[in-house]
Amino acid sequence: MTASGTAGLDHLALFYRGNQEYLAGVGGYILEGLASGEPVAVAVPGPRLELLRSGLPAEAVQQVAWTNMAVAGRNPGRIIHRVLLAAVKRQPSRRTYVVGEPIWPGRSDLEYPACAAHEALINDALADHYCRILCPYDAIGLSATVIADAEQTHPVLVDNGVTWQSPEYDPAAVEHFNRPLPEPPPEAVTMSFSRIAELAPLRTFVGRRAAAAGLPLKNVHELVVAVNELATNTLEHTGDGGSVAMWTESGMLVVQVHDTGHITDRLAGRTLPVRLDERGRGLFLVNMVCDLVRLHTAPTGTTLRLHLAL
Amino acid sequence: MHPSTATQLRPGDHVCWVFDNDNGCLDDIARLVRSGIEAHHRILCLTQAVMPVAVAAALESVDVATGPALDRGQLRITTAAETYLRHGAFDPGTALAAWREGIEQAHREGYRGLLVIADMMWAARPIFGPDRLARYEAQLSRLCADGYATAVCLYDRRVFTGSELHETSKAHLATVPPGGHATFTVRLRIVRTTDPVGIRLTGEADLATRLAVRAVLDGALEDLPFGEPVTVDLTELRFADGATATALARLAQALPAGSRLVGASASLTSLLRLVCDGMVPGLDLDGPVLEGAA
Repeated sequence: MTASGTAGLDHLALFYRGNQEYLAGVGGYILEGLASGEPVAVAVPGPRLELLRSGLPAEAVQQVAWTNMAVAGRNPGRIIHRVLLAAVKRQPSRRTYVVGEPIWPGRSDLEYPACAAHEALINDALADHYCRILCPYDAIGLSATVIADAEQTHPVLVDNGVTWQSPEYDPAAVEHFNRPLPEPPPEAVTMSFSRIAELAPLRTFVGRRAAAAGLPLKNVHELVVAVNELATNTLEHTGDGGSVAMWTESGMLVVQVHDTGHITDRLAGRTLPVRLDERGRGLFLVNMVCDLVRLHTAPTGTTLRLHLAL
Repeated sequence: MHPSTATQLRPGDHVCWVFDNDNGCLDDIARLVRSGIEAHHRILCLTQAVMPVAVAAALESVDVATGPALDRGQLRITTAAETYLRHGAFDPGTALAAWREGIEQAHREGYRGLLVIADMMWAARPIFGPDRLARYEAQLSRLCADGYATAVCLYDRRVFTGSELHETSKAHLATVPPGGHATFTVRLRIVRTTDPVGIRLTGEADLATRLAVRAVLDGALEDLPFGEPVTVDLTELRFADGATATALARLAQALPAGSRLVGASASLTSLLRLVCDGMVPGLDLDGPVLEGAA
């Protein structure tokens, strides 16, 4: 079915209960795409990937591009670029069928708001692309709140073979997940900055603390680049300085950058500008190298919290 | 001035030198001029707030033998009115042409370098504007990248606003804040090379030098011999931010066949791939390649 006309994006949430419904709903969608001769890309967590591969005919399995969402989409902030746009751009003139499952019962409370914000942003990020994106939701394993959120972030819902327009759909739903973050713990180390000349000492500070926390060297370099991008944005766009706080929490290194700016383009960092000019890449780079990025932005200030697994 | 600033400067450097005290500024100039005379550089002092005779007197007072240097033409002290503003309003194109001419002349006369110390007071006129000033300064970085001229631009903090200084400092390769000479280090050098034909970056490239780096990299194809393969040497580039990596990728995209980016660290290689999404044809990263990079 086409929910929004003959071109553009269809973004559907599919609610399933158990493997049978998963195979019937998601498997059926995949077969429908293949039968129409369209490209099909499936990005779901590992166990779901196995379920589909073993449940579908071998020749169908061969024609699908498979991605483990638990790896590629570990940071939900990079799914739009790495998974969805990558799939759609492979054959831009075709109507790509995508399955994207960014939310599953193993997602932590820390991750969830970023995942839900990602779902909301798909509607804008892919509005001009000719594709269908089906997002399976485990109606048994996920909470009622998560299911209710899915009804707000998806214009179209599918359950047990029935498809309907979501009465709860809210094009501005991303704001619901723009929530204040808890204060950093008292043991956090901090450094503030207000001048360009302080970028270099800030990089040294972040690099040393990250290495001391046990972050692998490759990730230390990436984190230093990421924090430098955020601090650069602060100096370029706010006219004020900012502050960086670092601590470890549940096996992760956390780096928070706070400033007085307000990010009004909610798609910032989700896609890569086509032209090779310098602007608009900072948040994108941050998303590419972090395992999770939490954001709270308001006219009074912006807090970005970067998480990297130790 | 702490001696470290004067001793650290090399041909190719382009420094944004911020001061807030007239006496200190004269002292700074004197030390710099003395080291320039000793290094057999042509030295050009462009003054605005202070008369040329006062500059010469100040130099004498700290034991710089200006007389002989002035007599043999090694040292010239003049005003913005006679140089930048000779034709009335400032025109960046005319000024940059005068720079090129000055470099060629110093070359011809056998000097080992050209040191220009310029009081930028004239640029504080509101008619000029911070963006235009920064564009001019960035083009000056591009001229200095031949590794012959050293440009020291003196900015009076009592005259320029914070945002003007913020903008223009990014068009230089180093910035010395008032009283910052003791801790001054040149963080980035970017020079064009002849053997091999190319560009070499040394140090750390971040927001502090963004406009300068962009001007040199974007101008590289025009400034290097036409059609020859280019070697971009990144061996000594210890840090590059996303904007620098993007400018490098943009250059790589436009380089002639056979050109190479060499010596990029694993983290820079990975950053280059990220910023261009692996889409830049001809980006031959001849360096250690990061395992698992996208």
